Amino acid sequence: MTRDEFERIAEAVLEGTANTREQEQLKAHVASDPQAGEIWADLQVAHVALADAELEPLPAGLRGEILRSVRFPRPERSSWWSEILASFRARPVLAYGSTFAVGLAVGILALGAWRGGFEAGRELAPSTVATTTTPEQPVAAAPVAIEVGGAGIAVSTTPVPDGATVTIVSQGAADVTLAWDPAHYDMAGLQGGAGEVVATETGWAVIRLVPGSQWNLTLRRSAAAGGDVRVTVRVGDNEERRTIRLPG
Amino acid sequence: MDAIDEIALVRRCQDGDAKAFTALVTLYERVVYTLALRMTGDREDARDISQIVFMKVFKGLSGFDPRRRFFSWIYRIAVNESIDRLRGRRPADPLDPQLASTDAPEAAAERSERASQVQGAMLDLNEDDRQLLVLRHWLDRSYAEIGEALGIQETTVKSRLFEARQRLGRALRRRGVNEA
Repeated sequence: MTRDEFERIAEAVLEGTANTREQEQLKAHVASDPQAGEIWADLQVAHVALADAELEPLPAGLRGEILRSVRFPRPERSSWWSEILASFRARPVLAYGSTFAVGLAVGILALGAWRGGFEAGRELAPSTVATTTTPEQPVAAAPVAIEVGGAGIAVSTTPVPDGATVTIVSQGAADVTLAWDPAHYDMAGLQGGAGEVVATETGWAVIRLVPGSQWNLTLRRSAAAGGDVRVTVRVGDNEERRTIRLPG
Repeated sequence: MDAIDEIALVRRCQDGDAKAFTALVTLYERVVYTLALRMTGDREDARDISQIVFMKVFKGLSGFDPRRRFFSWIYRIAVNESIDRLRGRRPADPLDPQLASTDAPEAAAERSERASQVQGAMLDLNEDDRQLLVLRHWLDRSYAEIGEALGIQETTVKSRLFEARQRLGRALRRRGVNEA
C-alpha cells in the first residue's frame, strides 16, 4: 500500500465512510507494517480527542470591548434633521395633526438625547439612564480592591432576586468599564451619586467616577446561573482589569 | 451567511456603517478568539489578540478588496498576531494547558481533563500543525477554505492534516492518553 493510499483509507475508516474491502486492507496493512501500525494508533487517539474537543465559551463582554476599541465617524446632525423634515414634506397631512405634532416633538427630543448621548454620553445625567433597581439583599461579597493611579476602587457584588448588584465605590477619579455576557444578564438598573454615565450598550457600561462616587449596576439573569462581570479601571494611561464572579 | 452577503456586509463597513461592523464582529469573534486561544493557549492573550485583530480589520477595511475572501484576510491577521504574541513571550512564561478546566463542575471533570490534555498536546505541536487542526476541527473549515487561507493546494491540506493529526495523537499518547 502506498503512502497516499494509506492516508486516504485511514481517513475514510476514521470518518466511517470506508467500505468493507478498505477496512480489511487497512487492517492487513497495519498488522504487517509496524510503522503503519504506530501511525494508525496515533491517528485513532487524535481522532477521538478531536471529536471530543469543544469550543470555549466567548469571554464576557468581549464584543463590547472590541466595539469600543473602534470609532466610526458620527453622522452629521444636520442630515438627521433633514431626514425628519423630508418625512414631513413627503406626508404633509401629518403636519396638520396637532396631537401628532406634540407627540413627535417629544419623540424627537428623546431621540436627540439618545443620539447625542451615545457617543460621548457626557450630556447624560445618571438619572437619565437609570432604571428601576431591585432592592438589595443584605449579604454582599467581600469587595475587590483595584488600585490604579490612586483611584482606590472597590467592587463588590450582592445577590438579588434573579440576579446581582455590582457596587463600585471610588476614592479618586477614574473611568470604569463594566462588561458582562448579555447572553446571561440584562442590565436592570444603573444608579449612582457622583460622576456620570459615559455610555451604555448591551453587555457593557462606562462610568466616569469622581472622588467619593458610588454606583450600583443591577443585572437581571436571563439564562442559567453563572457568568461574571469584567471590570476595567482606567486612570490616564494606566489600566487594570479584574474579572469578578457574579453570585448565584 | 454566504459569500455574497459577506461581501455586502464588508462593503457597508467600508461605507462607514457601524451596524455592519457590529455584524462582522458578531460573525467572526468566535473564529478569531478560538484561533488565538488554541494558538497561544492563554485566555487573556486570546482576548487581547481578538481586540487587536478587529482594530486592524477596522483600520484596514478601506483598503480591503471585497472580492477576496474576508475569512482568509481576518484569519491571516489573527494568526500573525498570535504568532507575534507567542514570540514576544519570555521563555519562562508558562502556557496554560488547563483550558476549559477552570470552574468545571464535578460532573464534567472527565471531559475537562480530556480538554486539558488536548490543549497541552496542541501546545506541543508546531504553529503550522496547530493552525491546520484549529481550522479543520474547531472552526470547521473545508479543505478548500483552509487551502485558501494558508495559500496551499487542497491536496496539500489533506496530506498536512494527516501528519498534524498523527503528531497530535503521538503527543497525546506521550501524555498517557490512549484511544477510547
